[in-house]
Amino acid sequence: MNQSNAACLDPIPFDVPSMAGTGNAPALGVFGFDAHYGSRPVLRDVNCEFPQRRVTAIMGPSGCGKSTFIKALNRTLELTPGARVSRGGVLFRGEDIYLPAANPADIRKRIGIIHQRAVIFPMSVLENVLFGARFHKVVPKSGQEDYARIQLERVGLWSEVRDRLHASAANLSGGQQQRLCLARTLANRPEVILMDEPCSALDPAATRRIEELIAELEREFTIVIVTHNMSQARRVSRQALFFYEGRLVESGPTDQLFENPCEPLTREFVTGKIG
Amino acid sequence: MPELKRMPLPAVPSAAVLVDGAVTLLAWLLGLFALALPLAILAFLAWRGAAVLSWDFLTSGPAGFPLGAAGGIRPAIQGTLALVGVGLLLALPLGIGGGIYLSEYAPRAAWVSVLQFAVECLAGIPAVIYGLFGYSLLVVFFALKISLLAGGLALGFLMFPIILIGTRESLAAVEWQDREAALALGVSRACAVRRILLPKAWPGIAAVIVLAAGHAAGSAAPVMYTASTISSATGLSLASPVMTLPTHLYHLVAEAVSFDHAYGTAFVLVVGMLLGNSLALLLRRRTN
Repeated sequence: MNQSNAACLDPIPFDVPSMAGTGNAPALGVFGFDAHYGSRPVLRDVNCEFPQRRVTAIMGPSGCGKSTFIKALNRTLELTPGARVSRGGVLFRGEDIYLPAANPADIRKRIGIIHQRAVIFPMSVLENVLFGARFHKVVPKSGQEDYARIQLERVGLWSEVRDRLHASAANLSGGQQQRLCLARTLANRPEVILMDEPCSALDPAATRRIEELIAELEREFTIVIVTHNMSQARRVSRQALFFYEGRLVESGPTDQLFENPCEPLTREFVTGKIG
Repeated sequence: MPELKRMPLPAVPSAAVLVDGAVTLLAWLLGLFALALPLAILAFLAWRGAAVLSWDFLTSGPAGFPLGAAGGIRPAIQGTLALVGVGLLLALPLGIGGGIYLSEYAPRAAWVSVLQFAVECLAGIPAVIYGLFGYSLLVVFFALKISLLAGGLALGFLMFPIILIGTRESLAAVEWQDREAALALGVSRACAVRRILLPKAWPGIAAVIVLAAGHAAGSAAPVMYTASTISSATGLSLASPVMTLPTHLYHLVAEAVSFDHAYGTAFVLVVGMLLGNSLALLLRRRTN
């Protein structure tokens, strides 16, 4: 460990001083977290926190467990056949989402997730946006179309789809589909938005639009984004976590992780020697 | 530009080339045979049945002595459609519901595998066993007598495992990510099944329903002891026996009533199946 770097001596990884006194508790806290696929361990003893209304990036080479980890944050990991959380928990607003009394559907509504590949449902653009919101009765029936328009405007899709709201959403481009998924998640009125490599299937222009949206949404939402793209992590996030072989190696302000990492592994990753 | 020279072929083709040619020829011959056989059957039936095939044949009842030597097959068409209809009333909810359960709700446990294996075996049981089972359970034990209801239920037993397996497989073919994306929005599993998985799997399910119905409509064995009669003068009623196409055909041939009428009946039955199977194929193509 680099003893000369003061930040590295701090046992709590995030910039606690800026949060102290503001009553700004972390949105999510993870403690003693282990996960398995069948009998194979994929995450071991992860402990970390996600500050409110911040973008936190999760980085690491392929297979390091970062996708597993982000899905565990809103109880969608258990939808993967064979995956299970074997120890620890996730605190959301002070309550462990893995307690038997917790309702996974409610947690998934409040902590939304965008997947790597945009999954468009076999229905119209409008129906796609309102899919979750209708189920959760977020808006009264009469205001649904206006509500959908607001969500589409938020993701910059309204002007592109206003003439085909009732047409199948399958004909949209990849970037449009990913923004539609974001509008669908926003329509649920979540408190936290998780993004699992949302740009990995998109071209540079579509990627830039998503990154701009992330910057706008940071004012309202706690955002966690998994990315294997280091320059994207630097552009969009203020906090970062680095995973390697199922363990959280280092966490802290993004700039510090890139410029002055504490762990040799992190240094090797950000300089491109591993990953 | 230099002139391109063709490589000279070796004087004696190698063994690999010969084997390749033989296999290609064999594949073509087998393919032609597979294509020619059903066409030949259809053409043969049309040719032999041409004497009786007419609009009247489809719309009038059997007549003459012995009965069936003249007239048409309208009651047999009606009876077959009614039997399949009654059977679907039983097989559709049970088959589709069971398929949804096995694909979407059943835990990954040993007893579920056993259950699935049992249903697959059920689909392989010969049709005559359904006839005997239907006779002893429905006709005798439940005293339904030989009737449209008893025969329809027997056909329901026959179609149920086919529809169940087809539903389960069509749902299993829907990408796992669709379930994940839907459930990740916090909706219930029932909502995901109803609004996303069933619409996506529907063409496959519809195709297997048509195939099961076609199989049931063409089977004589399950209805022979449970529903069929040589003639039904009265209209359709759940409590009365009905004429069916396959048993009418059997009767015409076995009693040597009229071979022309037998060929005509067979032609109608085969064309009906062909139309059904084409519909199934069209529906399946829409899935892919």
